[in-house]
Amino acid sequence: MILSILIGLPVLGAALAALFPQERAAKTISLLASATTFIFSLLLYTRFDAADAGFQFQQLFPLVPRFAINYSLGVDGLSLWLILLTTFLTPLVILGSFSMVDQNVRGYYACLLFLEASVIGTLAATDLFLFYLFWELMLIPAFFLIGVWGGPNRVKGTIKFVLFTMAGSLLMLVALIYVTHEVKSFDYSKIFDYSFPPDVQFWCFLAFALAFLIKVPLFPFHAWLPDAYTEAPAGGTVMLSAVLVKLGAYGLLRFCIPLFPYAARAFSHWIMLLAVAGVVHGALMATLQTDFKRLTAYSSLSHMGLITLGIFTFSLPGLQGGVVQMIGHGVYMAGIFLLIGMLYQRRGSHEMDTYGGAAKAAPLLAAAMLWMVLSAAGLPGFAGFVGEILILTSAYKAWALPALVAIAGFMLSAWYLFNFYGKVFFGQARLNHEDTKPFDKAQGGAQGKTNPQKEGAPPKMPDLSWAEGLALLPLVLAALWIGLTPNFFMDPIEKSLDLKVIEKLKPQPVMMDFAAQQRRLQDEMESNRQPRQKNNH
Amino acid sequence: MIQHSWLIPGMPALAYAVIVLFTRRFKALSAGISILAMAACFFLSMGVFQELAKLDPSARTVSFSWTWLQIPPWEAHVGVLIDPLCANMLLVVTLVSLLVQIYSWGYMHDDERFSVYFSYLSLFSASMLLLVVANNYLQIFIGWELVGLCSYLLIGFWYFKPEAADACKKAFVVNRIGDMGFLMGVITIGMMFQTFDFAEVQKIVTQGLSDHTYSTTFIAGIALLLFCGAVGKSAQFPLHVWLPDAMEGPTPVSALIHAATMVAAGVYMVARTYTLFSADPLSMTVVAWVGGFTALFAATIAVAQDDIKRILAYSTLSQLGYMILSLGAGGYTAGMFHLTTHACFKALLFLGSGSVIHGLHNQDIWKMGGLWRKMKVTTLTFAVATLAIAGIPPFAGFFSKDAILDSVHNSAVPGHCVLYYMGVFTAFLTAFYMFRLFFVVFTGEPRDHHAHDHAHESPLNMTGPLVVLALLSLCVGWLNWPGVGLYSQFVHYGSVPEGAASIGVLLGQSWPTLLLVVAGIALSAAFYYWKVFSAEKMAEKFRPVYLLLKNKYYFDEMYGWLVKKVLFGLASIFHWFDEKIVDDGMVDGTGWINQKMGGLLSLTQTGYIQNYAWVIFAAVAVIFFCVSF
Repeated sequence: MILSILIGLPVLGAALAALFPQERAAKTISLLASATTFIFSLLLYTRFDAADAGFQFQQLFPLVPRFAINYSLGVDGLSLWLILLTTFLTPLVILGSFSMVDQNVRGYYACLLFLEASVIGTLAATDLFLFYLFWELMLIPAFFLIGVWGGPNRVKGTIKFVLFTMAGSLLMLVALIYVTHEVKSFDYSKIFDYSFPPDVQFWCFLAFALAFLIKVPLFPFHAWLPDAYTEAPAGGTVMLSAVLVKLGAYGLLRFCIPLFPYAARAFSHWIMLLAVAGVVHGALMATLQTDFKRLTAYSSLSHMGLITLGIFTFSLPGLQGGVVQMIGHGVYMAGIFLLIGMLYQRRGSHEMDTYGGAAKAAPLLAAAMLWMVLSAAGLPGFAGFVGEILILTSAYKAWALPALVAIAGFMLSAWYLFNFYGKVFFGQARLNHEDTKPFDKAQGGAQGKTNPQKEGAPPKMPDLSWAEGLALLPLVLAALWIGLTPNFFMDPIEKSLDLKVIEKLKPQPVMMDFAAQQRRLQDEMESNRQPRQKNNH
Repeated sequence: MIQHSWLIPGMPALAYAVIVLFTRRFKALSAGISILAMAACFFLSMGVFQELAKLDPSARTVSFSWTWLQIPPWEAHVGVLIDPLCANMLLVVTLVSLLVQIYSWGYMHDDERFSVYFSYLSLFSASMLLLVVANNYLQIFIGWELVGLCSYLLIGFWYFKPEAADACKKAFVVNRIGDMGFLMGVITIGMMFQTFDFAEVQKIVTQGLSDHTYSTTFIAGIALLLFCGAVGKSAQFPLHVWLPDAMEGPTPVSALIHAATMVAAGVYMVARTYTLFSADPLSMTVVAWVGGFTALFAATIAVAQDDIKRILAYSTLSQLGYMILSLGAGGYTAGMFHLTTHACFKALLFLGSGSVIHGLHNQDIWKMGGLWRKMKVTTLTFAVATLAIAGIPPFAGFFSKDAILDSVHNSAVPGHCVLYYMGVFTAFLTAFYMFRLFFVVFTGEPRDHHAHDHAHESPLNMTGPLVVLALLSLCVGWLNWPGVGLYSQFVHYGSVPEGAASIGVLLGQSWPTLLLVVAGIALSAAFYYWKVFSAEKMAEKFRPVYLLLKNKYYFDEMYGWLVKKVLFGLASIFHWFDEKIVDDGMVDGTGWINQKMGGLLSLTQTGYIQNYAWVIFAAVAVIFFCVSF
């Protein structure tokens, strides 16, 4: 029941927020709805059994009995933290957006809540049909968030984002239909136990992987990312960078690797290479940017490459590092993009050159940003470090040379992040505002309210308001918490990762090779291994 | 005492948290908490040292740890390793930190972010001590990065100065380049040996080398990766460029972080992982030559600088080079001894220069002069430090520098003769530029009368630390008095190194160096005290050389060019790829293909009924054909 409540509450909140005519009521309702969802979701953690690798909190009733399509939900180690991350971030995004959005307010919050519901649904679905349904549903609120409340070039950003994602998902749909047709079930567990022949795996892996790799996004499928991130409103960017892209990595973990392990192993080297290329590409592109929102977008791309690299090492530390990095990345990217939204709201610009000396006027904002930047740069004790070191170590073990390149790429993040930080917060405060053109309301759309000061007057840079501070504080604490006690996050998921991903990757009798089968049987007898644990439900 | 040694990094960390969370508004309280925590650390370190000294020399290693991160098959620990090397470093760090914090109370008194400053100092001490007590590679890396962060924060403490903003970024990024190698080394160790623990790695490496599981070249490779980190942190050539710029920070910070403690972390790390370094002559040779070259290279630059703090910064580079050289040449004890003595007299020099800057509000030595009349304590203590760094007996620098030159002389490193003469010549240059600084600043007639009239001696909380450090600069060297060698017996790698048997022997073997040092002082006096020769005329005569030195061999310009051309060039290739291939090619290309295909298909939509009828007829025919056969 918990999972249905987690999906239902935000939908209810969205409906109420859209129905109430007062904007204030919409804000309160959406905050309450998302906060309640978060509190409910804590039950997932407290009642989660780390020793059980199967789905927990299961719920099932037939949706379309004729085709054996069920409404079936469940949570295991792969999805646990991502659901909690989503429910944790949404109220903060809503709180942080209070002062940022002032057009179509009710619609904005309804969209955010609807997005939350669909993300949780995607993560909790254990029926492939249901999964696909939620996966596509996510696009609708995301489409509106970028398209309605976005920046000047929002239309271009929206089109790119939607078309790219759609292209990937359609291929996935084809493969999904084939797979479910073959197994004659939409049930994930049944498909999980089924072994596909290698050639089928090959094509199905490619089709599934394309959808997820576009979502991640992996180099060179990232063309949608810089535009979508830059043009989306701050809240939308947070949801995109912190939550939505993680679903790509989740999809890889949930579907691509365990369902098609043979193909996954065959392609792993290529994907690792692309991941490293993404790390370096994102980092180098970030060094060139003058727009700091775009800079952060590229740095997010670079760090997502690292996560993909960790997943495709196919080792437990790599996978755990990948998941911890997903949580950490979610937290610090959320922080950075929220803070960027707050900066934009104060000055109406994303250009680094129009800022300077902001630390003097807004010390708390500067401190919060420093905290997040340090996390992103992978400083020990902060969220980014543990994931980084686990991923790099296991990547190094799996394939040394690309890992070394990835280390170099990752180290570049100190360069561009501190360059950005120094230019915005350090140095002389810019008193004349000549470089910043007054923001054109007609062109700027929903964000046009900003830049309240008159031209020529010294720009005001107020420090964090209470609401903003309250939205950032949990992120600040979480960034430290992840860095200090990573085992808290890694222990509950270990079993699931081991049995659902690693175990699947071990050579199976999928190869129609008699000798190999013989060898495997012999191995099994010799090592007196326990038979592979089936999922228990 | 030793079992409580985890408190040593713990207490300043607590002080940091308390100041940030609760006492930010109360200046004196914040400073008091910070200083109190540091004093407690110092006494705890004394206790640890005493307890360690009582133990049998072979049993002087105590280690314990907690598990921090557990991912089968490996674990990461946070632990404490107390041995003579660590105890030595603990005393240096806590003592200098304590004195600098007391001094800062006077120096930073008018700053409105006084509490923030003290919180940063506490954070720095905590991270530095975490690094010092580390018992594994991962922890030393963590401390390493955290001190880098504190350095960033403190260099950029006056962030509203554009120079400070640039300098802190530069320091962080340049350090990060070195850390990249360090991280690769740490990861390689973790992967190859399945542990990060110093003692276990040492065991595995010793075992592996004796039964030839690992080649010495492989171990040397790891050592050199780690050494990249030391090159960054200890500002050795070619990553030395950040340290002189780091002088934009408050002067007590320069004394603490950029002279006595943090920059010595690189030296400490090399000493800590000496097993890896000493496995192969290759790594030792690289270390020795990098150190020796930096020592000479930085000393030549220091001769032509005008900023009091920058002269000291280049002198720090040069002295760190000595330490690295010593470790590379096998002089483990000598290197660590020089680290200890250097911490005292260099901290004193920086604090003295801070006192001068505090009095004059100026850093250009050509605007100073005749300050001894106004600042007696500062002048006297500065003189002690200058004598110590120049290496005049019986001051501290004489003993440690001589030990280094001795170990280089006796080492087996290729080209050790050249290194020895480089070291001796560096000693000559050191004496010259340090006395140049001293004569110009403190003697003669005031050059800027307005500033001079306002100059005043610093308050007691600033001069107090100066006096303590001056006493130490005089006496610390005696710890290794020839024939007694208390220090050598305490800190050593392998067997106890043999020093000179008595002071007479020591003076007997070091007289050529001493002679050169005295010549350096005399030359300096001839130029800047008696003014027999004119420095301006010399500079004019050898103008190209002078410009080369004054512009620091144009290294900043060269790196600027590298970043601009190479890094941004590479980035713009990727940018082109993004723009042309990914965006134009893939995105717009897909759109174009769809459009064209749509165009082709649209040809079938002619709008003539006859055409459609023909198609329907043809289709029916085909279906009929298929079905019937």
